[in-house]
Amino acid sequence: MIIEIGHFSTIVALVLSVFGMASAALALKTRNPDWARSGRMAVTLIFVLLGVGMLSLVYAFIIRDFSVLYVANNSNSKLPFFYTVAAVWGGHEGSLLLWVFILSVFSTLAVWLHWRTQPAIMPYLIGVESAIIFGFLCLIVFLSSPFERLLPVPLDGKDLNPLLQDPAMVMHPPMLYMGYVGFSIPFSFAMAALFSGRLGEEWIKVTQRWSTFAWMCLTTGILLGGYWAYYELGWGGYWGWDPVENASFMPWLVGTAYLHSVLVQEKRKMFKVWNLFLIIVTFSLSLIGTFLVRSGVLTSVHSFATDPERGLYILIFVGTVIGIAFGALILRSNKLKSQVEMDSLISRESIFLFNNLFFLVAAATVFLGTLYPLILETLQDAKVTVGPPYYNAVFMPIALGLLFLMGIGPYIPWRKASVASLKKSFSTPLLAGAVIVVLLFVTGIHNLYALAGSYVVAFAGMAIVLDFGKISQLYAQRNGSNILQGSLAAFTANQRRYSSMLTHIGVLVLVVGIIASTVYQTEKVVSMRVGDEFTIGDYRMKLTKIHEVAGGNWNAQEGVFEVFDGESLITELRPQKRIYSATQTPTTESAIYAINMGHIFLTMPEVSEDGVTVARGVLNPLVLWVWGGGVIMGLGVILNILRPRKKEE
Amino acid sequence: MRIRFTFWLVVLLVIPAPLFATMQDETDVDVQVREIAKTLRCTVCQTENIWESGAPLAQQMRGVIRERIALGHSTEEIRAYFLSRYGDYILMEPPKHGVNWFIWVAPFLLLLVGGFFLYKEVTHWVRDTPTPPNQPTPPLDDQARKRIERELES
Repeated sequence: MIIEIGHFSTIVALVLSVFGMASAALALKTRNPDWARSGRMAVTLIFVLLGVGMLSLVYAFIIRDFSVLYVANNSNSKLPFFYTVAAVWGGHEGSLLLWVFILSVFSTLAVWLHWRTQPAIMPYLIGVESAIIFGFLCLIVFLSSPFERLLPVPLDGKDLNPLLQDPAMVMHPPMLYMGYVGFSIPFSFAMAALFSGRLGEEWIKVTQRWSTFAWMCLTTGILLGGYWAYYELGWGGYWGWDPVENASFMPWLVGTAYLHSVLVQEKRKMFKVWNLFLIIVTFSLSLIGTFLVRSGVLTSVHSFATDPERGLYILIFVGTVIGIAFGALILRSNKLKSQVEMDSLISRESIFLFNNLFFLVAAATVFLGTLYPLILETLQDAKVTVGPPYYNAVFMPIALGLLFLMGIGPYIPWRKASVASLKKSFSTPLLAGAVIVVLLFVTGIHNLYALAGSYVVAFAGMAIVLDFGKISQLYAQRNGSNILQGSLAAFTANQRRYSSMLTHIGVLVLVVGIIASTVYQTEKVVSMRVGDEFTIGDYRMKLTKIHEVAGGNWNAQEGVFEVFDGESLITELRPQKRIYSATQTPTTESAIYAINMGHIFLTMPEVSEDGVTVARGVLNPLVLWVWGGGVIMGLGVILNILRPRKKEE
Repeated sequence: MRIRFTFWLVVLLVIPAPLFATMQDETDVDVQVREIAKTLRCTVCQTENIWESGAPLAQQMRGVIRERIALGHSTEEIRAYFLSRYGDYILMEPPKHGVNWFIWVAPFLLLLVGGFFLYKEVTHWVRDTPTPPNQPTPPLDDQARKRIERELES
């Protein structure tokens, strides 16, 4: 009964989304503010109704109502309670519902937050958001409903995929979706700017915090996913360039380009078309990503055929959104021609353009790599794999270029940089890079990637530290305070700039983590019996026993390994080989010990009947920097969003 | 009788086993298996190589690699063997021949062409922008510095 209420609410929300579009159109036509107000009501009600829909599904999972097809497919009587709630977005139908629910939350927030300051924009915002909600709800209601009943009712559910039974499942998908969906707000404002012809900087300033927030969610979602894959999949890596990861990485890349490029328009009122183009591409990639992943097209052209209706619908919907958006952009482009004033090739605005070029090429590369197997299969009936070796090879130079630009961009003045100022800003960083490379080379690091990466990281890092140090000193001198207070004063005085620099530092830390843990990962796989030992790096692992352990819905064989550094016991690691009872799926649970900012990572891929165990040890040096960098990036972004409002904003 | 004998023999052999704990290490063959396995795709997984994949098929394929090494085949021969059986699909990256060159070259081509046009466009804009009279920047005096600080804080 409850699930029917949810189903019904969702259908009503679908009807209301039509009403939202209609009232937006009428508000524009009649100029009667009552229509906009009723549109606002529609959007708000959609949020409430979809909330009811979500809750009804959550309820069905909690009471384990296996008469609901979706619950039966993604839950089980023994599934721990904690995961039954996360299982709501464990499958296709539920994820779509979560997506559109988050969309309705953001739409409602945006409409109420900007109602008073942006009255002229409201009808457009309501119209565009309702239209996207409509598109998603049609898919959910007509083609992939999570509310369908199953007859006869099965005795038990099929269970949630064991790989998804993890605390990260609670946070990772919602974060990612908040990122995707968050970009819909700047997108809607951009569309409003295009439709209404109010093409100034207003929409960018109003949505700056929205885009930054969306970017933060997307970044967090991606990094969280990486960490999850790292300890759950058990091969010791966090990024496999698989199509699903790529789908989230593409909007991230273009979204990052957008976040930088809007600064030029804010400051110099140039590149209007370009920024509109970037936000349209960002949001389109969010849609494409969600849909391609969800429809299963990416795995193979053949899985597209297994559900042609969904696939076709998805294609038409995404095509329509992109078509309308670009159509409007092209129609307006003559109005958007802004006088470009460029004083020098060596200027902040020019560097931003090259930054954009690199980000777009990076995104295009991921796009091409992800779709290439599909294209080749369709055109030539040949199958190829585009895997990590490809991406690592082509991405490295692009990433190095971006990092280099990151080092110079913030310290090149707007309009024009003089040779003297270039020397002043960059001679020390260039030298710092060289010193680091020499030091690393002397200490035995000869890998070309590692050296090139370290050079650029040291260069960019030094540029940031140097600049901030100077400003801090200036403040300290003026206030007669110490350097610490000075830096605090400098930071708060220009929080937007320095919070971004903090994010940049986070990126550098992350890059160091990636380089170290990729280039200097060591791995060893040995067969052993209880009592045997093996060494990896400086550590010695001794298998002391193997015993059976049981969780609520799984049984496992657990190995107990004592880890020694020299003769001293540092820890005990307990990797498991689990069998989930409902599906009889085996998983390998890794055991991790953090030491010297890196990880000792241990899994037990095989345990045979006669007591021979295959143990797999991986040393990931500095891998903690990957997520540490992520945390610093997040901190920078939060400080950016929470910065005090300035008069002109 | 024989069963009992075997039983006690096993017991006697097993009890002192921990006393003779041995240091296990990878053999050269293990390392070679890993190197080869990392370049081959697990055909039933999503872009995972057969080294990292836990799928039974991947395990079988690792076994095949091991057998072939034991037969004295070289790394190249083993890769060629898999290539002949599964086609290009088995490799983790598109082999650099024929139409696949496109995907290897495209990113850099894009960067070069894009960079070239961007450079052209920017220099074009710079030419079209009237240059303000060029004065040497005077060194900062105290007053200017104060003003900068004020602006920084506003």
